Amino acid sequence: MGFPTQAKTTTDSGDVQQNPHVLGTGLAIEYSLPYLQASVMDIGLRAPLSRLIPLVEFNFQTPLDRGQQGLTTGIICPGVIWSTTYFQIGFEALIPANSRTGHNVGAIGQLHFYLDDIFPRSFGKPLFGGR
Amino acid sequence: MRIIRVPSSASLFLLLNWASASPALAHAFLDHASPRVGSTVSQAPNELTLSFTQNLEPAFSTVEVLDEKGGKVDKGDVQVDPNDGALLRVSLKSLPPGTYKVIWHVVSVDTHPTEGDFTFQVAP
Repeated sequence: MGFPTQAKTTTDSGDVQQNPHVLGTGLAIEYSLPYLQASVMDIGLRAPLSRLIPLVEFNFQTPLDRGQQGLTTGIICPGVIWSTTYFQIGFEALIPANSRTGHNVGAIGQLHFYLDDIFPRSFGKPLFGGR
Repeated sequence: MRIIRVPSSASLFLLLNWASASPALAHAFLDHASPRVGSTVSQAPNELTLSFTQNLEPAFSTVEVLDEKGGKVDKGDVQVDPNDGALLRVSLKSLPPGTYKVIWHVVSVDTHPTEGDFTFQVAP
């Protein structure tokens, strides 16, 4: 849920913008090839294919009041993550789910470092107990 | 006038970390196994080997092999290979045809724990 701090906002030009409460919903479906290889069946994939995680994300926002109720917008994001020992890279297409959202396809990328693995003696070190 | 820039404490911390991070270590994940994960073998193996992505801490790395009734069929002699710190070995009893479950818990040498399980089959 999104709770606006103000019911409406007045811009410098005098326009009044309503700020509705917004219900956010989402779903992600992914298939982990690393998990397949290590826990289900070794089908002989080797790097880089064995590190791939194909996925599709769905993100929707639905205003609930202030004249905008039911005007849902959203995006569908098919993509892939490539996960290594120390980082992962992800790319997704951003496809509008309806005409209200837009008409153009975008893209987004992510680079995620596993700091506890890169710096095991600081970020990756237990705070209490252990060695 | 010459300006000397002093690195922020955050960037200094990262720099010191980077300098002290060699060699970097990480979680140990299963790379491959023998018998292979999910496979069916025609001849009963007398040993199970698990190859991980990182070197293991022998004192905290274990594996057990169970039959369909939950009975233990490994000999309990789990050891990290002296020539390959990422390879875990355990001897197996004589295995009749059936499905066997492998359960592993390991700790990499930088103390990160991981665990997993899989099955393999011995064909009649």
